[in-house]
Amino acid sequence: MFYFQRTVYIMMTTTDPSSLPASKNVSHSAVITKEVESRTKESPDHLFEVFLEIREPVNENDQADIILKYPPDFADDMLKSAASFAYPCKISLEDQGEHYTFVLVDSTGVLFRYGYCRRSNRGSTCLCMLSYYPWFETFYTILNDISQIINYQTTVDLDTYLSLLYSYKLLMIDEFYKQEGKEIIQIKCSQKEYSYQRPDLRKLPAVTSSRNFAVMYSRLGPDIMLQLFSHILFERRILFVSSKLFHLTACACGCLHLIFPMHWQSIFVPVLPSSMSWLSQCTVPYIIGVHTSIFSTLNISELGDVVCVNIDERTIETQYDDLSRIPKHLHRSMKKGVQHSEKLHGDGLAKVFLRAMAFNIGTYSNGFILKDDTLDFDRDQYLRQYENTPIHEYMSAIAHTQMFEQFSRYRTDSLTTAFDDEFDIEVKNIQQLQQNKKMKSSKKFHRILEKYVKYGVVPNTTLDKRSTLRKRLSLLDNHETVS
Amino acid sequence: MASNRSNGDGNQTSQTFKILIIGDSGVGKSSLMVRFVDDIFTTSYITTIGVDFKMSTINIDGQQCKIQIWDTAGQERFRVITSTYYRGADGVIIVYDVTNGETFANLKDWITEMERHCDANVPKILVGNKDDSDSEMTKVVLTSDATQYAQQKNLPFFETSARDNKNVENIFHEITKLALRRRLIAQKDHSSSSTTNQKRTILTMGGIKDNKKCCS
Repeated sequence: MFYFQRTVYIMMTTTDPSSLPASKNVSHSAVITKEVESRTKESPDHLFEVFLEIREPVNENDQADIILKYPPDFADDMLKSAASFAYPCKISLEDQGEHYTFVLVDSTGVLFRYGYCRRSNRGSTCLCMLSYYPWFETFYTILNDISQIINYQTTVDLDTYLSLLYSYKLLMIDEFYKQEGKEIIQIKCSQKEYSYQRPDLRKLPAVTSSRNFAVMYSRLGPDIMLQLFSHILFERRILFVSSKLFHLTACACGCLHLIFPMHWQSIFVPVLPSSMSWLSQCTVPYIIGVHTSIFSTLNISELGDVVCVNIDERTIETQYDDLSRIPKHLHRSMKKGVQHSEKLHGDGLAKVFLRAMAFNIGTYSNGFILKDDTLDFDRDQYLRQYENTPIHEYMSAIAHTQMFEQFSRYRTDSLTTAFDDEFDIEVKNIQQLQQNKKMKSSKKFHRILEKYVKYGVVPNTTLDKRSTLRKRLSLLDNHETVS
Repeated sequence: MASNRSNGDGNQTSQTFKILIIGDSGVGKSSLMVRFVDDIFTTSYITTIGVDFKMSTINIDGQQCKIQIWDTAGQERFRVITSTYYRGADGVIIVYDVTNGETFANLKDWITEMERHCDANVPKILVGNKDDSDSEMTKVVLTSDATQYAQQKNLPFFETSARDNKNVENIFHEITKLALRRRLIAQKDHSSSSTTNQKRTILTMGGIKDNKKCCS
């Protein structure tokens, strides 16, 4: 194992590019950090950036008013458009009671900021909290508590609550991991105690813990989810349509889990305001969510090769047959896995996709080369292992996405970091399957792989002694004949 | 407002062209776009959704052409922009800053990638912006070097100044002209062959309803 020194660089994401003189532009060869690759800010200064209460505009073309803002001196370009994201289109009062989340980019255009919203069917305002943390459940709970405070307590109480939350010092990420990803955010405010669980983002989403993931699965079902996966994998333009903003949030944000550990690098707007409906015409890969009322105003012929997912009607419409490009054995095992996933507890559903991704991109390290004494990633070198195999076209298509480009470069730049997340465990598993002499027959390998993707029946990574491996594989063989 | 423009002007005979503008931040992509539509009051969305969009209509040899210019934020984090980004684009304008050598050097990887993996027929032009009337002292990318490079890569090349409104109209005119030419050739080819593979597949809960396959 080689270790390479990290090069020193200016972390561009903490600097506003508009404030930089042109000559200070960061070159394309700058190191890709986890933050840039995952588009998730590593250590935001505050738990949330701003809290807003926004009043619904009377007429559709009016600007919505911000009637409450915390911190009061928060100034950002986003405030101008926050209102149109909080009220993206006209929705009748009885249909308004929901949580949803819009997503904006930061000033560099790279990192995501989440605008968590709560609207009730009784009031005519929207409570909105903007944060760099992708903590959907936590912020929805916080917004519920804020609503209670607004309705039943004083403005002083609200101010105290918000200031305590704003200045709350979270554990540093290393410390948080040392505590096994457990932290309770506690706030005492006017004799009441509020506590929130800090989510551990290393964990795969479970249907029981991630509302986005659960709603996506229940709304779309296994077949559409699988097809959707194939379209995201090839970086298509994906348009979600629903009459529920929450369902747009759930599907647009939920589907990003399917391609983990890769991250969507292109346009991402889960809730698109009607004033920006022109965005749907963009030719660049995107994931966009639009309310049904906005979709009905779009000129379909101008949308081009879009993949249209109608959540309410449970349909997916496209000119691409990407699902058939997935290798047969992988497709078959994923299909079985997804259909059986209700029997799988916890993160079973997410695991089916994770194992597929381990197969899809797990061999990335074969692309490593030495260039001028530094480690580099070479796509041609990487694809050479698949030359003259039936999956070459498939692997090549994945390797030519921006997601893979960023993923492989991040992995190259961060080689000194020990990767031991869920993905790496699966990669090690799959490598062990491949290394075993028995697996030389590809038919057999694919059969075992099928089991592996479906159930995760694999030799334990910590027991990598040949004999143990063989023993476990023989168990696997038995398992195969039983079923 | 851009949104009103995008609804179209009802001219059924006009063609729409979607043009991508790429290059590092700070090279003046937004200024070129603003200069092109000649409207500083249109909103920029680059700081909220990371996309900027401008639209205008120009006339090429009597043909009305609606041209949409698209810019996305954060491109400098990519060593290469992969082919999926260009899929569906009718043309690409590649911009660097003549006063910043690095922005020119950075483009080379992008252009190499484009050469190898993107549809060679998609028109592309190279633009050196900020070639302002008083830039003699600050200009570092020489016209001769850039011209030579552009010739080698077979790219039409322009030096522009969004500030002085130099050549701005020309670049948009040129890219649209090339895009129109490409489309007319494609239409001719299309009418001579009889392929109708634009069928859409609709998957419902029950399975595939209309399974006319289509290549990608």
